[in-house]
Amino acid sequence: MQLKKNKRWLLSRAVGSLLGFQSGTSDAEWQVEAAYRYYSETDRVTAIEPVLQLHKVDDDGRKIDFTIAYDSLSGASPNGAAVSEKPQTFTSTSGVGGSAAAVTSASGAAYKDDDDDDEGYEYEGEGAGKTSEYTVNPGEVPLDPNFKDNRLSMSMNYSWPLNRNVTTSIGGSYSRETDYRSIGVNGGVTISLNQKNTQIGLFLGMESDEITPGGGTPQAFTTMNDKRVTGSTENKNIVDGLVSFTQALSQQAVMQLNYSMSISDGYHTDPYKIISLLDEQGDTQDYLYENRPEKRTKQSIYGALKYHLLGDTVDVSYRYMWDDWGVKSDTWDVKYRFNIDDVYIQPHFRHYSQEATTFYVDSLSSTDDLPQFASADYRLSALSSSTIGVKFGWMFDENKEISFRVESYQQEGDSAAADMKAIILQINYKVAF
Amino acid sequence: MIRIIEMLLIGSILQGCNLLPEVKPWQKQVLAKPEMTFGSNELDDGFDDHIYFSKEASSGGRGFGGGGCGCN
Repeated sequence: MQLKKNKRWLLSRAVGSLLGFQSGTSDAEWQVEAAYRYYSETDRVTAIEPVLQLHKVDDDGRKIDFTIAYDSLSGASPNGAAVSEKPQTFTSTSGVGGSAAAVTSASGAAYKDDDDDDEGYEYEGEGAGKTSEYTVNPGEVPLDPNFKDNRLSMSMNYSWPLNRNVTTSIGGSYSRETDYRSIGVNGGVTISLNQKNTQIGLFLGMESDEITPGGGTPQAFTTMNDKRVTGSTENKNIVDGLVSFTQALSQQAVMQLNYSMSISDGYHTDPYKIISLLDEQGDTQDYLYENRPEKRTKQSIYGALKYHLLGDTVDVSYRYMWDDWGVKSDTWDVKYRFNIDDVYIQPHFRHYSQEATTFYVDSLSSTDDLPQFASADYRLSALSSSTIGVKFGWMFDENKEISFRVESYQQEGDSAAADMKAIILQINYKVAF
Repeated sequence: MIRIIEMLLIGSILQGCNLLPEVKPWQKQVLAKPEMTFGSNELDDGFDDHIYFSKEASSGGRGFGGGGCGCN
């Protein structure tokens, strides 16, 4: 599915909170932060998410964090099929048990609920969803208007100093949505050296995911209209490792250099994505379910610099990521925070570009042999994206802060489905006591 | 021999023999500000990481990345 919450950021949060030169909070023991987020793509997915985070630190430097979030997502999502000069009709199975009948997607595609769960399936497991049919107009990017999901996620992290220079942490996370369940644990140690001007962090995380595709797991490359399923539940296990080096460069500058590796083993295929099968004339003959490798190893090098300049703060970072699927990507991120008394204004710019995975295809040809792996998911194609935005913050009391953020996110790439625009709105309220 | 040299080099770094900058504790007022601390803007960073993970083929870097959903 196009947009699903994941708990990785809470793990990254656990990493981040251990790498700094102070706690990041005031002298207060408790800190509560609430946020409400709104993310909306033009003619596609919209997500809203309230988040609550509790943070406590005691006199001995022990910290505990608890975060809970609830996401609601709905809208239209690219199904992987290629744009055609003729109308295209698709059958889909959603992860949620169907929605109201006869809606019209933003792209103009007519959609009607079938309400017949059993027809056309050889296997009916826990993940059975409702089938639906929708038609996409000629020249339009095929979007499945049937995307709808909710997600509840929780995480906790606890860190404590072993001695003056060593801090350790443990954490756990759990999330549940209609067709996905994730459980993760993590731990780490941070060593301070050189009068605490240098910090070396080592972190390890493990995660176990269970996927229950609506309507069962499609067999690779079976056709959309003759869908064959292999079971109802799939699994994926992930091991993450991260080595971090943080260094104070001067009284006004600090840098961080990270190396991370993530090894994922299990079901990576998107069970809702299809690929157009074209005949010799280039006309659509059928639609096939995609198939991705069962293993993926990602590595990245990340460098970041924070610099205090004339009372303002400059935050620049770069990431180079590569994996054994052929993806190579560059990410630049720049924030400049103007500090004006108890108010700050922070413009933000981010640019991302990636190469395609080796098995990405726009479509398949009926005259060629089927490859071992293939996906027409535009997110695996060559693409670039840009984010531009600004955040306003007001610390209206010693221990209270409210902030607003508005950003524009835009993608473009080789695939027609990659052309996408989104808006991000967020409000945060933070209080310490 | 190589191991001894490595140990000496690492030892030098860890001792801070001018190979790494040294800021005294009383000179860290600026570095102690929340906005100068890595990981101090966790909710925003986490939300951004999630969006980009869902829309791009990359993840990780400042923390762990990838996994948690079937979207990539």
